[in-house]
Amino acid sequence: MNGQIYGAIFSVACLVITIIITIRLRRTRAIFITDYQAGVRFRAGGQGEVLPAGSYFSTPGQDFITVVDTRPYPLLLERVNCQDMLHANFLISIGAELVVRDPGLAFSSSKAYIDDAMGVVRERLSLAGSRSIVDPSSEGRARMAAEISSELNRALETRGLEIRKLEITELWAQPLRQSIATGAN
Amino acid sequence: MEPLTVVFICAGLIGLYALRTRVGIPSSHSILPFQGGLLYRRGCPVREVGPGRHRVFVGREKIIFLDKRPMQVNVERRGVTLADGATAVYGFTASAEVRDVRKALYSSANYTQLPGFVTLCVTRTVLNRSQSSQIRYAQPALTEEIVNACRSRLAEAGFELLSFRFSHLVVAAPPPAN
Repeated sequence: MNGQIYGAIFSVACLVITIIITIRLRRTRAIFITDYQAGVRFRAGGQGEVLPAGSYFSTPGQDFITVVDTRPYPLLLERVNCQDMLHANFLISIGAELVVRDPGLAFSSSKAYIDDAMGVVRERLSLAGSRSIVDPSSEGRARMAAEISSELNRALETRGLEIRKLEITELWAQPLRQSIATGAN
Repeated sequence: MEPLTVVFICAGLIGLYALRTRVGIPSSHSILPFQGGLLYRRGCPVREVGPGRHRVFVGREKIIFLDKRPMQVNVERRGVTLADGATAVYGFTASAEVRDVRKALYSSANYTQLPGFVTLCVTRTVLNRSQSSQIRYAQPALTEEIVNACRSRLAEAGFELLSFRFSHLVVAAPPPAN
């Protein structure tokens, strides 16, 4: 008789434990990270740990996993007015790919890291232009694209982002005599 | 019920729940006739899946699908400086569709933006290298050059260019006098 009572109590205890554990596990969220994504796990206020592709659990309040897309983001900037090293006015349009190089850094540096990077690129494009001499020939364009890429990547490095495949889609320099006259006025 | 049986049942339930991302929960996913998908297992691509119903183990597997219907690109009244300093105003309509699901999925964070990006970059580059006279008298040749360049770049990204047509292309301002 006693054995039966203890057995029943044990069964009930097991069920209660199962329910408690299941409720605790229900709070966890399964996160699926594909190979073109990277997960960043923040735990106990520490630095973000980058997770490779796979399935993970995240428990709200204990750890936080965010998914960062590492595929390229197309970037177009059209008709930006700049002045080159010789103070010649020029107009430039670029097309490029913006890629997340360091997911942890990108996510920690800014809430809207892609949108913010667009502003940085626009600002730095003028700066990069002012350090070069405009040459509309194809070699000149290629050289200028490389210079702009390295300048932009220097600025984006601290944000965990990178510019790739930058191409100058439009380049026109005002003739120097005209630029000087415009500057004199 | 025997206490040991209860222990096993409870342990089994907890284990199944805890290991749901390892084992996966059987489910199915339907792909519509105009969609294409890529099946991922533990985060890595396994195979392409076509329209129909597919069995997946949720938590361990996932199907990422994309729309293969033609995408339209409409660009209106954009200005570009030509090689001789004149300004041309252009607008175009293009359409493209996904041919290679895997390539298209990896081409961009948002694959629907890619045809617009490519057509805009190529059109602007080609026009910027052209003279006013080419805009006035050799538009078919320019269009063909743009179509060829767009086609090869889109093919690399898993798309096919279906059409490209200038809605307008005119020289708006003459080159500045030196």
